[in-house]
Parts: sequence; C-alpha cells; structure tokens
Amino acid sequence: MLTEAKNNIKYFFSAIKVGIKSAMAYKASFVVQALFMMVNNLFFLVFWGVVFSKTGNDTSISFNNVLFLWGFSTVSYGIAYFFFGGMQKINEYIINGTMDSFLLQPKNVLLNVLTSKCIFSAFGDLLYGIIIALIAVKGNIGQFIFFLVISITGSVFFISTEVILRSLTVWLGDTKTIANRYIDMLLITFSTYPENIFKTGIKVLLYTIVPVAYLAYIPSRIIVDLNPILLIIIIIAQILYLVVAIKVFNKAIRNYESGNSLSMKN
Amino acid sequence: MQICVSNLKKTFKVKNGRLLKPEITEVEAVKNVSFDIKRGEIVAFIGPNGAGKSTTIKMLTGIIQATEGNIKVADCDPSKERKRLAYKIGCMFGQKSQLYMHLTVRDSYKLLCSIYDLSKEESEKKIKEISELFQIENLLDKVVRKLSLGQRMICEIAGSILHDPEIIFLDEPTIGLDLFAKARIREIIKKMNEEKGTTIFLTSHDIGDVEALCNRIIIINDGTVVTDSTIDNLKSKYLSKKVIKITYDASIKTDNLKYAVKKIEKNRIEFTVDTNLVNMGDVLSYFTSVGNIVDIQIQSTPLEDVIKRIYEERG
Repeated sequence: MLTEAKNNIKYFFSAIKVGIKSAMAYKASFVVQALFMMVNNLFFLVFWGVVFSKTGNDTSISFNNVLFLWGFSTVSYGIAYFFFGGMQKINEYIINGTMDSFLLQPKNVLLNVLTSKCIFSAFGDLLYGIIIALIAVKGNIGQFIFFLVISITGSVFFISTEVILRSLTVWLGDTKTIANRYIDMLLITFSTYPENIFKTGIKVLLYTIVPVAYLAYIPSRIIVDLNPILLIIIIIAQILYLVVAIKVFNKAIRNYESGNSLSMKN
Repeated sequence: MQICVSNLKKTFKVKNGRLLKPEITEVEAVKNVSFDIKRGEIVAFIGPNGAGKSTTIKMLTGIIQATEGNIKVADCDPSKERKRLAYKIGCMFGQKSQLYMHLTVRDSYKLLCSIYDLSKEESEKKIKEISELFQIENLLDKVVRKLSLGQRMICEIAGSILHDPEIIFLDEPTIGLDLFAKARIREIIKKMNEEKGTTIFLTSHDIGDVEALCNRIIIINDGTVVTDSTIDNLKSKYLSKKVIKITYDASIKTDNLKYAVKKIEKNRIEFTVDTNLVNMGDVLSYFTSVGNIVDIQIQSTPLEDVIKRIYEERG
C-alpha cells in the first residue's frame, strides 16, 4: 500500500514533468496563453477598482475582499487545471475509447487521466492569483498560509466537480457541454462576486445546486477571520466530495464500453 | 497455460433514440468463446469486422468487463487484478497510441518506464536495450508527431515491451503500412518471440501477418469461435487442392491422359489435384513421362480464400 502510494507520487511528478515538457514544445504558445489569461483576469479587477472608486467601500464589501475572491478562485483554478487538466478530457476519453490506454497501465486510472494534460492558460491564472493574494494579505504571513491551504481545497472542489460531471458520459452520453456550462458559467462566474451582493433566494442556490459557497464564500470568511475550525470543516467537506468523485469515476470505469476510433494522446 | 478463456460472453446494452423511456436492447458481441494458449505460442485471432475480436482482447486485458465466463491471463483475473496484470502484459493497438505526440520517443519511453515503476538507471538500461533490439537508436530523439507511420508503429511495439511483458497483445500492428514496414514489424515480432519467449496474441486483417508469424489460428465469427487449429492443419484440410500448370516444349496428346485436365492451350495444360486423394509425386512423374517439361507451376488456394470459405461455411 505504502509502496503503491510512493510509486503514485513518483509517477505524479514524472507526469507533471512531461506536461511541462509538452508545454515547452510550444514555448511561445504557452507564454502567450498564460499572459493573455493574466491580462484577461486583470481587466476584471480594473472594473472592480472603477466601481469602488465611484461608490466607495461598502460596509460589507471591500476591494480587498474582491482581491481575495479573485486570488483563490484563480489559484484554485490554476492548480486544478494546470496540473490536472486531463480531467477536462474524461468525457472524450470515454467517448472515443482512449481510456483504454490508461486502463492498460498499472497505475491508478484517475491519477493517470488527471495528469494526462496540462492546460497552459491555467498557469497564467495560478501566477496571477498568487500576485493578487500577495497584494491582498499586505504582509500577513498567516493569512497567506491560510490562503494557500484554502486554494488547494478549492482546486479539489474543481477537480471533483469536473470528474463527476464528465464521468456521467458513460450513462448520459457526452456531458462536455453540461460540464463546461456548469463550471464556466455558474461556478467560476459566481465565485468572483462577493456573496453579499446576492439576495436570499440566489444565496440558497449558491449553497445548494451551484455550491459556490464552498468554493469561494466560506473560504473567503476563513481567510478574513483566520478561522481554523471552519478551515478544518471545509477541508473535511472537500475530502468527502473528492471521495464521492472517485466513487463515481470508478463506477463509470466499470461500465465503460470502450470504442475503436483512431486517436492519439497529446 | 498462459491464457485460459472459457465460456466468455459480452453483452452490450443499446438504447434507442427516444429521450423518455428509451427502449434498451441487448447485443451479444461475444457469445461463447473458449480457448487456451500456451507460453511462447504466436496465435492469430482473426475474424471479419464486428466478429468480436477487439471485444475479446479488451476483456482479456481488463479494459472492459465480461458479462459471463472465466478468464485467466498470466495467472491473473483481468476483471479483479487489472494492475497486477498490467505488469505482465504489453499491448499495442494499431489504432491507438501510447506515445506522447509532443514528446520525443525517449521522453515517452521514460514516462512509460516510470508507469511501470522502473528506476532511472533501469529505465536508461532498458531504453538502450530495446532501441538496439529494434534498431531505433536514430529515432529516440525525434518528436513522436514527426515520425512516419511505420516508424511510429515500430516505436509503439518497442514501447509496449519496455517492462518485459510475458504476453503481448497486438491489434492490427501493420495497419496502413507499406510492404517494407510490414516486413520489418513481422521480423521484430518474430525476434521478440524467439529471443524472449514472449507469447504473442495477434489480430490482423492482413493474412500476410498470419502466414509469416503464427503457428496457430483462432477464427471468430459472429461472437463464436469457428475454427481453432494450427496453420499446418488448416492448410492440409483446406489447402489440399492444388492447381498445376505445366508447359511442354511441344504439343502433347491429351486424349488418354490419366488425370482430368481442365484447360489445354497449345503446349500448356492446367488441372487440379487433391493431395488427400492422390500422391503428388505420382502425378508429377506421370506428367514428366508425357513430354519434355519447360515450366511447372503449383499453386495452393491462398489462405485468404480459405478463411473466406470458413466464414461462409460456419458464419
């Protein structure tokens, strides 16, 4: 068991190294994608800056809150999609039968699939989020450590959601559109706005059907209040969510029927 | 036995197009397949498209689960011991790549070695050994996407044995290749079997692969094994009829020939004999006594035609 875990960790680093090497095969594309993502994110903050300069800091929402929200949303996203970008291909691997090559290897299939691709632009998110966080914590090291831990739980949330939605392809047919819409248009969009701007009805949705609260709002409170109890609760919740995602993925793999289309790993 | 398969069945559920209450029908891709394969054998597993070949291979390698039946491959149950089995088998599916498009062959191999838990030193040693065996040292530092199809196929096979598997599953290893590349791949497969004693389980639509490599053939059609025989048995059973064409230096008398001649053209005759009924030596000495032979051709039915006949007879 311990040896297997050790081998999996060793494999994880080898796969990441390969992902980065693949990225480096197209250096210009990698740099441009990462840079454009940073510029894209920067525009949103400029927009918020303009809003706050006109209205002044609300009692419940400050520009610093917004910086934190953007910080851990982008770092969470960056960690998840740069290191585990293969999760976005689960539906494709199921549909075209490429999952075969992962099943033929003596490694944990999910880990193998997750590390099969790096999304270059997510590196821009990661870098951008760290810069924003360094500005927002204003030298408070404790707050920065909380920020990093929270960002990791946020990335677990992204990974679990992607894995669940895309594994459903086995039963529902290609879930690419559902997963893209749900994550891009609901989770990411709502996670970059402060909770306080929403009314109760919307908030109920944000704690249930589109659980952005666990991705952004509760973590935001943890960082601002430096609340260790809430931090432990959110860590446990994210681990449980990940367990559910692993179960769904394994069930999907048991029901996987393969295919015969021509394809190649990339 | 290295592969034991008994009463293997696989059923797929197919939904019809209706969104609400779709009708689910069951399609039997593999109906009742049983066979055993010994260590070191090279077995061809062939059949027409949709016969159940790939589905059977996928069950043998643990990719998909069997609906019924028992499988043991290298002493592992593929449905329960997928990871343990993966260390013992190598797979090369011609239509799917295990190499990484954007990396060099060497980097792809390094990652494959890491997947099989080989240390850095072991990996380097293994890559050197395999590249020498396959004579691909000059390809190691090329990016995979820049390889020709033939080069990629050779690199794929090499990649599939980096971990010294006991059994190799090759699904259409020569698909889309030219004659030279095909010959090279066949030579490599033969070498692996001879030098390492690797068991080879091969599917191919190219009968040339089967004739050049295999000593046994299993023919599957409509999800059922229709023939399981050595190539020699198959040939003696189905290839006993020979077409003989003899050219003489002058016209010969054909009125009272001992054997029925099908075609006579000036000084050339053509006829068919069944070697199960007559002795080929007797036939040849008889026709030698009739006149001066300039040329003689003896043709067997191509294996391809034999297989076609088997599909038609038992399909």
